Amino acid sequence: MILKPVLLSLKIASLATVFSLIIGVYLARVMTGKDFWGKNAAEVLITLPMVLPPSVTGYILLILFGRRGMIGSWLYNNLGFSFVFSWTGAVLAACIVSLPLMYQSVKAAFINVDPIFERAARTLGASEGRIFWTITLPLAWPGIVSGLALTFARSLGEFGATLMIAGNIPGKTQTIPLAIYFASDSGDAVTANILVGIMTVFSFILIYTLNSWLKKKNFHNIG
Amino acid sequence: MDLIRLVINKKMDYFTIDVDISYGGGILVIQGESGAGKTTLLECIAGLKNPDKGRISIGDRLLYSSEANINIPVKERNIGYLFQSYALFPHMSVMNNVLYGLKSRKIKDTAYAEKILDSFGIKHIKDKLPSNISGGEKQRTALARAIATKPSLLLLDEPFSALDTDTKTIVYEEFISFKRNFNMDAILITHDEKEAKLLGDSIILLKEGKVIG
Repeated sequence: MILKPVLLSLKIASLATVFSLIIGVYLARVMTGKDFWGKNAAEVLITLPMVLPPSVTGYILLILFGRRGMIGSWLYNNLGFSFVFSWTGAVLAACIVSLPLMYQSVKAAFINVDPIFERAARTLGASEGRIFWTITLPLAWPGIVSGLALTFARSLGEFGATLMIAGNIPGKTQTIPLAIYFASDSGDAVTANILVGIMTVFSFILIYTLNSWLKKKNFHNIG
Repeated sequence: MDLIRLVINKKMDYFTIDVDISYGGGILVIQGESGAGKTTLLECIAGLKNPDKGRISIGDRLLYSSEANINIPVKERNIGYLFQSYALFPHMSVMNNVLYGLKSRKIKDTAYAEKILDSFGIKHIKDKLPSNISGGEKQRTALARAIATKPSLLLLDEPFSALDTDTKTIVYEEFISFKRNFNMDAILITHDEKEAKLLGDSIILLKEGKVIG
């Protein structure tokens, strides 16, 4: 009753963080590059899940990825795969909801890298790809680590959108926040208290460790 | 020595850079007050900025021509650039800074890099990060990094302005012996007349984008 949601939450949050990292770094790179038509609208679209109620995000995900949804029907008919009522749906929900945090952290980190280093690398004959991997990314690293921690914490706490798309199936899609809600709803105060304790202590340690590390790196705190 | 020809026209906020410079090698000093367009001129030569019109060539190698629509990218120009702030990569050791250009060209010749570090007297700090070395050492590391790839032309943007007077005296002497040893064509920009006379084989004066002497 306790262990399953904890392990499931860790699995879902870890995967969501990995996907957010890849997508967030890619988007931040594109958005800090040259201007293109619709750039401002794209920026808003990426940030939107941060301000929308998670139930709205979850509903939109259902419309898109449900079995009759635009993308979901294709996935189901061609690959026999569905996000709905599956732990992969919880990964999708956590990834989309936490992506704005990753994106904002990485973007700010990229902007903070002094362009003179990239210019210097260019004069030394480096390709744009080499500049990105050897200069931009390492110099933006503290900001990216902030993004990782925030994304992981947000993914771990994701509730609304997860419930909409993945449902609440104990052992299959029931993450810590869902387990807390339903334990509390059914009067199981012991389970709820333990899970709330785990969640709070874990989040505290995560942010505390990150802040100490960033302080050592001479970087700004996140909280 | 190759003939270096720089015909550059570029509109700036308050004036237009309009120069036609040819020189036969050695150290050319472009002297001028700050805001005379010196750095922009160097950036155009390196390819970091584009002129509006013009033609840049080193010997028979054409780097830029607005007429022929030629614009060789920065990384292929093989022009060394020493930035005013040195722009040493803060997360890399002195050695890795010097190796960076070589690795970009898929050359991993550590022995050659060590030789360069040795000739600049910075071998003993090769494992240190730029934040842990002195101003003079930074300057030498940046120079070593810029020449490690054997550029056909070296551009130096006020390379001594960040140094204190005592260090400057030493670094000037080092630069003169560097000039003798490496026999490299270079364009150095400075606002300091004394420095121009001490280091330049030829000097031109730049004011508001025009050559005035």
